[in-house]
Amino acid sequence: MAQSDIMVSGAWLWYAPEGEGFPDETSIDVGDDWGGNWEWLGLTTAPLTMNLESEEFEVDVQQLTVAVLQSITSEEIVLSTTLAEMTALNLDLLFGGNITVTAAAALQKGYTELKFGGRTQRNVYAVGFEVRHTVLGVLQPLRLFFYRATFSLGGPIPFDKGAPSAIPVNVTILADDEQLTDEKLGVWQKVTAAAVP
Amino acid sequence: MADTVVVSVIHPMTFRDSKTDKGTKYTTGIHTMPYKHAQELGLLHRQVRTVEGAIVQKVPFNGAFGEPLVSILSNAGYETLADLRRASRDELTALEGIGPANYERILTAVKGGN
Repeated sequence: MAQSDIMVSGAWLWYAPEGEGFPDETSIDVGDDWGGNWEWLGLTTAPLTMNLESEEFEVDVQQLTVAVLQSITSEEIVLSTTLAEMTALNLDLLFGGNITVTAAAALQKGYTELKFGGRTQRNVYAVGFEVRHTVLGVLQPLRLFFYRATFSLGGPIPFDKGAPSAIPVNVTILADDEQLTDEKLGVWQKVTAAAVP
Repeated sequence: MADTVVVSVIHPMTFRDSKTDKGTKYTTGIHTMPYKHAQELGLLHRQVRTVEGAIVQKVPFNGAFGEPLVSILSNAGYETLADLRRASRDELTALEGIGPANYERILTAVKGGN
C-alpha cells in the first residue's frame, strides 16, 4: 500500500468493433492513439464512472438471523459519462441508423445526416478506457478493457443557452462466453514500471 | 496520380457529392476509396495503408502525436511543429494534459527537425 497507488485522473474512453485486440502496454504509451480499429470517443464534460451492481440469492436458516449462503445470480457493470461532442458517430453509437455525408458544392451546403429508429438490437463493441498515473515521475497508463459492450443514452440531452448540449451515455458491459471462467468481462491493466533499457 | 486511400470503416457510412447523388455506401471493414470520400467522411486518421501514387494527406504535427495530444495542442492554437518550437516550456506545461511525459514527447518531435 502506498500513496503512489492513489489515482487522480480523468479518463479517455475508446471503442472498437467487437473482437478487436487490446492495445499493447509497452508499444502504446500513455496518451498514444490505441491504433488498429480503436476510436476515441472524444472530449467529455463529466467524469467517467464505473459501477457494478449485482443480485444475490441468499439462504437463510431458522437458527440464525444472518444468511448462511450467498450466490450471485446476476451482475452488471455500467460505465457512465457525458460526451461533449455532438457528432453523427457519437449519436450512431446510441441510436444506430445510417450516416450519410453530403459534400459541399456549388449552391449546396455540406451536411451530415443520421437516419435512425426502429432497431431491436444494439451494436456490440469492444470498449476500453485509460487513466494516467505517475511511476517515478513518468506518466504511465492504467487501462480497463471490456470485450463486449453496448451504448445507450444515459439521460436527457439538454439544449440549453447556459450549458453545452452534451450527450449522457451508459456503456453496459456484456459477457464474452469465449473467455475463461471468471475472466468473461474484461481486463484491468496497470503499467507499474518503465521498460528496462 | 491515383487519388485513393485504404481506410478502416467501423460505422457504415454513405458519401455523396450532392443531394441528388445516390451516394457510395461503405459497410464496416477495410475499403479502398477516393481521398475525397475519406476526407469528407472524417476517415483520414483511419488509414491502414497507402495506395501507390496516392496523395499523402497532411497529418497534424507530421503524425508525431496520438489523437488526444493532438486535440490538446490544436485546441490551444498550435497547428504545426514550428508553432511548438516557438512555445516556451511554461506555456506548454501550463496546458491541461501536458505533463512531463507529453512535454518530453513534444521536445523529441520538435528536435526531430520536422
